[in-house]
Amino acid sequence: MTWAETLRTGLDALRTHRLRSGLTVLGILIGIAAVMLTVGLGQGAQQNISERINALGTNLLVVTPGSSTGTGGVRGGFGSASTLTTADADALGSHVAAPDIAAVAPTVGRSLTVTTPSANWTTTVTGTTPEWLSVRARQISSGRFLTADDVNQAAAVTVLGSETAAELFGGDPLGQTVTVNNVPLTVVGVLTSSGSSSGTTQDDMALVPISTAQLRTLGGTARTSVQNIYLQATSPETLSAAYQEAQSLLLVLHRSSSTTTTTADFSISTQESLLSTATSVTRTLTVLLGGIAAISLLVGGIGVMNIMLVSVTERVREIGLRKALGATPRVIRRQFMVEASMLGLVGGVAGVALGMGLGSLLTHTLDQPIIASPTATVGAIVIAVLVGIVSGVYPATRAARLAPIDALRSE
Amino acid sequence: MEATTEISPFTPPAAAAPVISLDGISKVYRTGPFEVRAVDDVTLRIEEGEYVAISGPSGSGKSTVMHILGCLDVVTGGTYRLAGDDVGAMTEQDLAVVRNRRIGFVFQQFNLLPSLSAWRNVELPLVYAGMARGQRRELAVAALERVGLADRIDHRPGELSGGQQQRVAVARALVGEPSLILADEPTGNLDSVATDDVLRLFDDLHAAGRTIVVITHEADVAARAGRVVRMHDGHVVADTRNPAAPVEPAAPPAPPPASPAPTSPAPTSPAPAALHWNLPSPANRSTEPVQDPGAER
Repeated sequence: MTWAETLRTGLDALRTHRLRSGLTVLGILIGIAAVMLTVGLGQGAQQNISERINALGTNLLVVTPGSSTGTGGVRGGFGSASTLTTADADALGSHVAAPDIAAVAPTVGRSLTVTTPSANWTTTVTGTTPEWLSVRARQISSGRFLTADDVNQAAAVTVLGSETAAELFGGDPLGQTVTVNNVPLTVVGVLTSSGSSSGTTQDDMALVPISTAQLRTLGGTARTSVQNIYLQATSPETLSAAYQEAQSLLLVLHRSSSTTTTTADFSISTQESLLSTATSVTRTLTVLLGGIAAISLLVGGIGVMNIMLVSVTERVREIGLRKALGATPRVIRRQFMVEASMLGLVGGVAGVALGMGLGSLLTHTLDQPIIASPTATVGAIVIAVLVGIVSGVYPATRAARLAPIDALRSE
Repeated sequence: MEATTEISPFTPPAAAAPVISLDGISKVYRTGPFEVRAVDDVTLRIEEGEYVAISGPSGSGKSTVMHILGCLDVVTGGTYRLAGDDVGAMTEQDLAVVRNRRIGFVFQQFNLLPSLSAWRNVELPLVYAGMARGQRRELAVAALERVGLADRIDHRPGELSGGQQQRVAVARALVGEPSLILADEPTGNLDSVATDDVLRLFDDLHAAGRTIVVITHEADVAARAGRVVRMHDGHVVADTRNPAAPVEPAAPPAPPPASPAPTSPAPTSPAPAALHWNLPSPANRSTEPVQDPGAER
């Protein structure tokens, strides 16, 4: 008996019991769809996070004050660890002391309300230097960015993120005045949108010269301290050299008694270290959700086995007849295996389709990307067929072992 | 066999070994402390082309003999040779091949697969023989024509009367050109007209040289065979040539009055030269009561 014949016979059998086959397929379908969704959700979250981190810039190092060793990444509020200063930033910017650092952008910022005569909008007001634009790999869509002169003179100017500009001004914001903490600032430029789907925070900001922020808009303890120092290495190859230079320089400047990073009052992270932390969190979540989905797939597989056993019992006469007409045990076993794997295949394909459909629906409604990668799609179908085959082994063996005489005798 | 060349492709080979040779076979079932000897020391030879009825009351062991003959069951003692080959030495795989190539079964319950059309049911033995689809259909349709169901090839069993279903089953038994046709109470579920149809089919097959073994408890069915083996309590108690039906060649019965058969002198007398492969002919079909009127046309 050829494979084509076996397939045709299997299809006939499944078509004869449409409702039963459909319900069995449903079990696999739900399991596969759940697996597709959870894996897609995990991959989406991962991509989202790496997009955000990559959007920070390229060859980037971030110096943060205090110790960021808290496992949750929890740090004290603003000013609680103000160990970094503008002097540190200036020292890191020296090409003699740190030849592998291309650019330095210290930042200081806080969430403040920005007002115009007709609107107000709460956003992050960040003080920084002209280097910020290249370090963070951003562009200006109109006007100009902050200049060294602005920083030297603590000029009352601001550059707005594209979303902030749109919220505050319907039309052209250039030359208009906004007020932050009673300080009037002139809008001199607008940033190009970062383009990242998840990057709304990247487009909602107001940038001012760091001196203006420290002296006029933020006030408080922020007069010389900075929150973060963004460093850009000259190339990907010099990233670790830049890391070493920044670390030894800061350890000297801070006169740390120890030369190890564990006791230092600052920490330096790379994009890779940020990525790996975030990735491990999402991976844990994906494994957890995927485990639950796998259980539903297991239940679906048990459903297939159950139905195949019922089918063998119900078709005892048919099996006996086929044996009387010359079917060998191997042919009978193969026929039931094919039926079980067809249930798995149909469930797998339908489950992948459902998972993709639900995935794109959820991507739009939840604003959370769900990615159906080709690997996951093919993998899901293969798993579904495997579930069918594994579930079919026992029922098929039972069918093959039936003595034709017992099979024919039963009513 | 003069008239068979054109109508039937079957030509029996020169008889060497008997088709069936049972030597002191027995079949013992054990249920707890009890031992049931369903068949006890039966010796039987059936030659090529014989039409044999095995009859007896229920419990006489005739069904067990039928299962053994059909290689559906194995003996506990003695040897069974099918066309000279020892069945007891065969593996399950070999037995499947033997059932497929050498034996055609006709069952009391027809045992057609309800989801398949008539020709798909008939082609099943050829499927397991590994024949190509086009050839299978050709042979299946030819077999259905032989049993007079040329116009029913695409009907499902549920759309056919009991007699028609059994004729489909006979076509299925014929299609692989087996050396032996085994029928287990083939008329047990049929009314008298359908019974007559099926028995006439057997008569024709016999006339064409087939070896036929019919298991029955009905005397009038046994009377059509050339030889009657009577069983009782697992033993063969009588083995008689049927005087009314000559052994070789066997006679088709007298056709019904509607069908002209001038050469038949008596209802169970020797055959006319022409064989009734296509019977029932349209003429006598019209007298057949329709069991399932909805499916007839």
